[in-house]
Amino acid sequence: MTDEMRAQINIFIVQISQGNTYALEGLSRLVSARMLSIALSVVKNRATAEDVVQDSFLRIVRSAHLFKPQTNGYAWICKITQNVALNALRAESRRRSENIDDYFNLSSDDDVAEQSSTQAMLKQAMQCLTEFEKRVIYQKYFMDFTVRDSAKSLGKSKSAVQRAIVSAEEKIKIYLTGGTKSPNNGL
Amino acid sequence: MMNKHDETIQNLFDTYAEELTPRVDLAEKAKMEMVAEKQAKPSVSARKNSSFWLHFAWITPVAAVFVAVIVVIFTLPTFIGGLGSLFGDDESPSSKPATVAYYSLADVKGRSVSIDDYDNMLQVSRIKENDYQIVGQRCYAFFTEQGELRYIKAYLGVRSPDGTFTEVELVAEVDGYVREDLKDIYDLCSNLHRMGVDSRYDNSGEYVTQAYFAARDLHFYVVARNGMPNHVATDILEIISA
Repeated sequence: MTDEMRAQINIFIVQISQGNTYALEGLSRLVSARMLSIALSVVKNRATAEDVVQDSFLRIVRSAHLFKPQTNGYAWICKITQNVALNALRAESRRRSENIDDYFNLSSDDDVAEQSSTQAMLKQAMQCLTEFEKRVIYQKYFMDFTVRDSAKSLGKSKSAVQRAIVSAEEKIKIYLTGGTKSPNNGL
Repeated sequence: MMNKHDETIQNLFDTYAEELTPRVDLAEKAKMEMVAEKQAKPSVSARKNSSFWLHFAWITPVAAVFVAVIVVIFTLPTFIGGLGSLFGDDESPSSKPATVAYYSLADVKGRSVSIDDYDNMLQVSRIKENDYQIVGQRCYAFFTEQGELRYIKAYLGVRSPDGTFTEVELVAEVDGYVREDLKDIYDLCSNLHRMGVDSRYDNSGEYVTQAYFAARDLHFYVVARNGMPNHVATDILEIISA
């Protein structure tokens, strides 16, 4: 995500608050894929994830007038998507009595054979991490969350989040340089 | 707090993101809503400055009528022959003080306190008696230089029997005193007979219930955050306010 893209996203959100439907199209071109990935990482079901993204766009349109243009619009969209996905997951887990804490993974329901080399490499690198580290590293590098955002989102202290980020970064770098031996289970 | 991005890892995530296929179609539903709203309302700019608490604005005219009726009831008998004695010597049923003293945050100092020490005022323990579990709590009391309590601020994490988690943030202010930054809310809500509640999604997609009520010589401003629309936040507020 470049700074230009971030700035463009903020402009789109402001324009959406003024009723500009072209801005919504532009925004969806920039972020819909990422939103779907975030939703999939939480709900792990493509149909549900698509519903989540649709609902998230509705939420964005309805809340655009509350958006503060000097803040990170992309992270704001990611937060909305994550919250809508977690709501969907809670509703689902209530029916199935499963633990939502086990869900936060960088993954999709795509077949492994269809993944690109980058996707496969990233997924392998993430396997070196604990569940908490996966969450914070995904939020930092994919969702543009600050340490404070992650701490609030995950109900942890900022120092705990920061420690997990440092540890996760080290593990990923070791993996990328070919130094890893046995990744954690559970992706 | 350090927040520097590692370039290699960022590149990996960016490449991953670039390989994802945009799904513009997923914004269609929102686009249709925008179009429909545009046709229904020519301008949405008027919504921009609307304050969350202004949804209590309907209270003002209702309260004005209520006050007018009370005034008529209590003054008319004196005009027509001192029949006020029929109502006895009791004071007005309104619990709102006639005058309030305003103060600012600079006038008070807060300190961390045990919520149990203030339970007779906050009645938080009653939440547990209603099958809810308090999984986290912090409480601060704010005093003047003379040591007079002005308000208590508490944060609670409440888990309901079905596993739903609700964050409750409350300010319980001593009747007769109003913090300056809460004046607008107080003016809007202080004539409520029971409890004013408003629920909606906030700008980060969380479901937020805001409430105002008066109880035990305190007036409470409460914000409860919950994952989704349900009765839990309102239940908790009902318990505290009872």
